[in-house]
Amino acid sequence: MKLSYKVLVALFSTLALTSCMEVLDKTDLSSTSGTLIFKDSTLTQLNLDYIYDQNLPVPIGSLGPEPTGLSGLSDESYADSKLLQGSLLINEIGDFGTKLDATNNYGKIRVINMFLSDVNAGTLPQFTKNKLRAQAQFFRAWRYFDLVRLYGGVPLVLSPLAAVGVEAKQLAFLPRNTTAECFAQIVSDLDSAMASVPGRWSASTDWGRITKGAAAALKGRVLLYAASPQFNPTDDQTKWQTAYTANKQAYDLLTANGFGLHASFDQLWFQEVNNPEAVFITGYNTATGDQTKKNNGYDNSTRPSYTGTGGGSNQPSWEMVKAFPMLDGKKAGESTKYTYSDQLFFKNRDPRFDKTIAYNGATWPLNGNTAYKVWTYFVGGKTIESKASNTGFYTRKAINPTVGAGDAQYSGTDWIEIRFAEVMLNLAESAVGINQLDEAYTQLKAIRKRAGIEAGTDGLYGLKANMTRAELFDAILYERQIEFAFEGKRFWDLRRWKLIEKTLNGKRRTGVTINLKTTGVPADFATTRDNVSLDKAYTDYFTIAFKQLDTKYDIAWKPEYYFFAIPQTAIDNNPKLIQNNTWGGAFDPLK
Amino acid sequence: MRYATGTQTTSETETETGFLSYAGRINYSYANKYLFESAIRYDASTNFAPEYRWGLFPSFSAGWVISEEPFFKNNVRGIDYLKLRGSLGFMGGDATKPYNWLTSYSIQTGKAAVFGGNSDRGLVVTPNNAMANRQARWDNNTKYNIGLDMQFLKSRLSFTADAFYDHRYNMLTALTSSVPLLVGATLPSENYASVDGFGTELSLGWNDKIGGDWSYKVNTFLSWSDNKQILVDVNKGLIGTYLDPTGRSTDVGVLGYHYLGMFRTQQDVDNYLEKNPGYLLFGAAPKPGMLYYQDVRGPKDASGNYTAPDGKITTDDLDYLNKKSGNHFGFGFNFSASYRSFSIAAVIGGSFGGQAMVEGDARSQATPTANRPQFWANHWTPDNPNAAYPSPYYKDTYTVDSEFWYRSSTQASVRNLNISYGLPGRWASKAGLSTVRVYLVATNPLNLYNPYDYKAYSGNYNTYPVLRSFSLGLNLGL
Repeated sequence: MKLSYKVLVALFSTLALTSCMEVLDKTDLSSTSGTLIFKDSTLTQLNLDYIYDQNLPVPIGSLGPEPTGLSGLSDESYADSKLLQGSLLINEIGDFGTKLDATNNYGKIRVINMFLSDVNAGTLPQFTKNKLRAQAQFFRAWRYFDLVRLYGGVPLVLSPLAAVGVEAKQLAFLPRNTTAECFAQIVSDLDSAMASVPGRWSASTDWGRITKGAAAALKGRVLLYAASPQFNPTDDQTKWQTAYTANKQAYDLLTANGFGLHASFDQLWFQEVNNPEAVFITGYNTATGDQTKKNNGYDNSTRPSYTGTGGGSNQPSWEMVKAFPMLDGKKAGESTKYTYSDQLFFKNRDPRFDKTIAYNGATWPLNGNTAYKVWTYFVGGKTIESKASNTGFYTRKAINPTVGAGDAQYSGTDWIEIRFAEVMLNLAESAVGINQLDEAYTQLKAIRKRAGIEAGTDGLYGLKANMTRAELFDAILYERQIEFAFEGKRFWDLRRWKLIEKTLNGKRRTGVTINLKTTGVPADFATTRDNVSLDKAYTDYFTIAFKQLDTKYDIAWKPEYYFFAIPQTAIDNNPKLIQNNTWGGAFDPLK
Repeated sequence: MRYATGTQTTSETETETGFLSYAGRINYSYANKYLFESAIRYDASTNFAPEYRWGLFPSFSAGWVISEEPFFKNNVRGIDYLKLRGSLGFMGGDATKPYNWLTSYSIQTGKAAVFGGNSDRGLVVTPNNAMANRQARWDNNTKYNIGLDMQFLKSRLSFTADAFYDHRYNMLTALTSSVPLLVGATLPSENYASVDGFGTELSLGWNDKIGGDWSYKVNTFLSWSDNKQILVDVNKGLIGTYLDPTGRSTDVGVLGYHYLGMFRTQQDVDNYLEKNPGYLLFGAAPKPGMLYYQDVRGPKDASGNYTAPDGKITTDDLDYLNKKSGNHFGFGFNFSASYRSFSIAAVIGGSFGGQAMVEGDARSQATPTANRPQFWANHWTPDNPNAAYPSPYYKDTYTVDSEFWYRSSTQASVRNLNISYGLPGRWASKAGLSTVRVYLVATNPLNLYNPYDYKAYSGNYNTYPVLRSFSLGLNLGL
């Protein structure tokens, strides 16, 4: 036992050597504490810039299990999707979140809530606190709106939930709030935002931050949804009135701060700072360094593959091509001044047609070549493109004509999520809702005038005179289809108007194959085509063949998709969530 | 060669952590008959808050060499060595992320929004550890082990039996499932879960010499291990359902669909639909060339209970298809022999008892840039209705786990082979060297049993395989 005694002595004498305790005197070098951040406005702003980046929308957006870009979920373009096949399963719209995750919707909401309470607890002047918090509140409204339009009411989490320990966890099992409560919360956040952000930021380096007008415009959009048939099947006039008031306020706030329509329907995408049309944008840059770049992927993925490094998304369907009005503003086939034929589909159309659709033979300056013409025809069953367009067309909206093929991937074109034109059409629609039909005519005419449509002898830009309330609703929806084509708006418009079955069900979308005739075509057509008149080329040299883009099934959208199911996995995680009544539960999303 | 363009940036991070430990050990042996050892550790880790930093971990082991006892020595023949041993340890770990106990923010690059036209992304402040747990402390692991060592036939034959039981509790767990997703943050570790692990191992060895030149050694073992979860992080809505893991092993078999067959013709589909009207496979109507599965349950009702089978195959029809998915039995066979300066040694290992499946990548549809294993050549087409594999078109219906993709999980291979030869000293000295040794080492030289015909046992068919390597060496001593 002598040995063990010695060991014990040694052991305890080492313990007494307090100098060793320095080993434990360590700090977390990679992080810093909140108290240091939220007493400094610059550092606090850096936290806000992170919230901006996490929440700013991406171009067009996507939805569903695959997920599918929104252009392909409407009549604008084509995509295969379980939503359109009608085979959507209960877990497959996972935007609500299916498990605890710091980066899903509720993860992003937590970052916002942390910011709101951290700034409050910090030592900045009240004015600065309000200005910073207001911008975060805008994005909290944006997040909840994103969820509510998908599912109806969701649990409102308005402060960072504690979750360490059994008791705190139990308190975090929250039920869904009603849809009305959610809309009220969104509006309240946007009202706070409006109160504390400037109408226009004085420094150009702040271009892209939330303004009073942006908050008001989002509020207008949110309340327009709340008044639409999806949320308002009984056509409750008070909802339209609230929407009208909000949109009118947005319109007035924006015009008072120098916003308005941009002079050019196509160039509006390429003016960044002080663009009057850009109400709410996601800023992108042309940097190439992996820590400094934030490039807009829309351009590269939409242009023809051989003029960039990706390409071919958002290809217009024939339905979209045909939807554009003629130059006098009348629909194709209805205009008496400009006759329409499928063979010369491009002739005498609304000027927005040429600025939105790139078709076989269209002059489309790309890669800095101002004389460039895009050709998509087939010779002997083979495309003359290095990779054929599936529909026969390309989208040219917001595609930068000046960048080289290798630089298209670094596009810095800002994405305009809310254009001033949308504020105008939101105002028009809500005005129709409360039977102020003249207001709708005013806005529609202004949009069509900017588009370049002929005013006509009656000065109505092709609009039918004395339309009824229902006709005007249709006219506005139609104007939105044209004006906002490929801006990710069409799917949501059809859904909030519950018009997807009527528009798409039982149908298959169409594309074209333009074939070069085998006889009567000059042998040197491939080299001289750029100088041949398009009328002559289409009349004498091309034939147009139609093909179905939906090859597998007729579109079969289901009525229960107007409110998606809360994923069963989310309900398993939190049994207090009640499923929507269209999916077997007891929650009424209309309340 | 990298083909990516643009600016490359590198970054560097610096962190510091501290770990302080005091250790002591007492060894006691009486006449090589009674053995006792006790060890004690007193550890501190900066993973815990200062007031929870220290943990005390004693362990004890004892052995009794029965064969040294006179009553044994004098009475038992044929057993040269017999030892009983046992140990008990109170251990713990600090397996949690550093500074788990502090709420913190970090400054990062590449995550800022872009303002003012085309300016570069700036810095951002992000929540680094959004939630802290100051109460986290060392977790507990009580380890029990008993063993028996025996030797027979002039110590040429040896036998060892071992059994262990680990009771782990207060395990540091970053909870996810039992937390409502509304929280929206990665949770800090909490002292929560409890798992018991247990297993046994038997081994048998023989070593002997034949004359003065030959010697050889053979050793085999068979092992088994499993566990039982006592307290688990589980979704509230899954408690009490077949998916509740509480009280069960972490391995309760393959979760998949009960495979019923493949629709070969439209006639098959029609017949099936006649008996099962409205049958849908993951939302799609059945078509020839699809695999189909058994309907086990309907969707959950409003109170969270599964309803009766509804004729639609969805994730509600998942089931545990067998008892175990992993191989809980392992075996080995090690052999070595030498003749004068020539020696050969081999390590052979294997495992069995679970259930393997064709891996997910090999099951899925080919893409323009990804090939699939050759077995897909025999897939369903209208002209090949009796194919072994389904129509690749309906990917949602066949990529799921099911008995269709079963392969045996038994495997055995020679892991290592070593042959060496040392030149006799007199030859070496002629060359002016003291020793000359030639050797060949082979890693993974031979697969004895592999249930797959398109890949090696471990890894996916489309990833870099486990290498079979041979090295030939020459060792010269001056």
